Amino acid sequence: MNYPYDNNNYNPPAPVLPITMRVPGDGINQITIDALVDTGADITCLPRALIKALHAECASSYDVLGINGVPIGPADSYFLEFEIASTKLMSEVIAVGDEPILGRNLINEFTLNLQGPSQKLVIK
Amino acid sequence: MILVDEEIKEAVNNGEIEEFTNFSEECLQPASYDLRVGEEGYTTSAGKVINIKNEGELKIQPGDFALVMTHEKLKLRTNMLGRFGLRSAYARRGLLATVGPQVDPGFEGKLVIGIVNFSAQLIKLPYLTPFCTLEFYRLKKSARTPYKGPYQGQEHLTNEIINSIPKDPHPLAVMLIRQLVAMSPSLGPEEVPILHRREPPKSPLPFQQEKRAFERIKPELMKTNRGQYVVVREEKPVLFGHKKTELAKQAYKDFGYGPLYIGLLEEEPEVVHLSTPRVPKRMT
Repeated sequence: MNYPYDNNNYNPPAPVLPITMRVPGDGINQITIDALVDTGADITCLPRALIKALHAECASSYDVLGINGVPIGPADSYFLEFEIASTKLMSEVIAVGDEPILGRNLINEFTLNLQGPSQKLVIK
Repeated sequence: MILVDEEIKEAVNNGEIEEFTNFSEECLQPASYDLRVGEEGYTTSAGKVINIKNEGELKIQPGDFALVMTHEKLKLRTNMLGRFGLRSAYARRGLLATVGPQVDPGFEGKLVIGIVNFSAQLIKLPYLTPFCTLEFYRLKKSARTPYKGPYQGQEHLTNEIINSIPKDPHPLAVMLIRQLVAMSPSLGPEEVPILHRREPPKSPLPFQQEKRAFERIKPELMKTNRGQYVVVREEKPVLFGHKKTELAKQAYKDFGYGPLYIGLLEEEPEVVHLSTPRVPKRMT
């Protein structure tokens, strides 16, 4: 499956993946959004407004560190069901920032091929 | 007589509503049933049938005319009639449903709802989101000539249905809306869709209570389960394991989706790194 880079919101263009998420067992409410593929992020991050819209329940918490280990602060985490490239799986996310970021906890479930010159991401 | 929730359920069970494919009790309202966004949709801006299941949602641009096919399929007996309209959450956002006066006795098939986006915002309808509500009327007599029209048995958006709508059904309104959007940089696409109302989380308190309970019992649990994760529910440890996500799955399976806390039995708190620097777009 091929996914074009996002050149509207990122300069230089960046690989993004459409992710569909829902609360575990919820067959009705779901949100699909493009998330930046970011191998520098340990964990997937979502804007708090999205998590609120899904009515997700906190399940755990983390101390979040930014560049050079600078503390960003504590963050609550949530477990959500994801559908990415036709694969369904449950994973943990934290509510941080206003940009959906696909972190390595989910990236590592897939074989990704970044084709920069043709600006597309290919999932095998 | 309009049916209330229990009567709708009974009518489905006793065959008064002869067929109700994909019926879900969660969609019952006090005196109606919430119809959900089905697999197929169409918008004038896309100009083609969209597979909403694959795309995840139907994007209705400002000024768009859209057709949305319901997830549910119905077959009404000749003494039943339906009336439906858009759910108020969407109506308040600026969507207007263009529907016929009724679902006739004897109708069979999926319903197709025409929707116009009169707002200046992109509005998204996620797959399986309840967006319309349907009332059922029990008639005193059966209709002598039940519905046998062109939409009988419809299950897909056919060319015939799509061609029945004009390409630009409300040219003046559409033009005005699009000009307004173009003129106002603040009227960007809306990213957070309206979702079906579930029971809201009780409050942040239970989670905080479970978290405090975890901190309280952690020293004792570390003597026996150091390095493992523990699920704390109702202030007691209920599950242990080494894989956090597997533990969460098990906890939600055993206890349902609700407040709990999953903590690591180590001295240091769990840490995550977000190490990618961001450069403001204007500097690149």
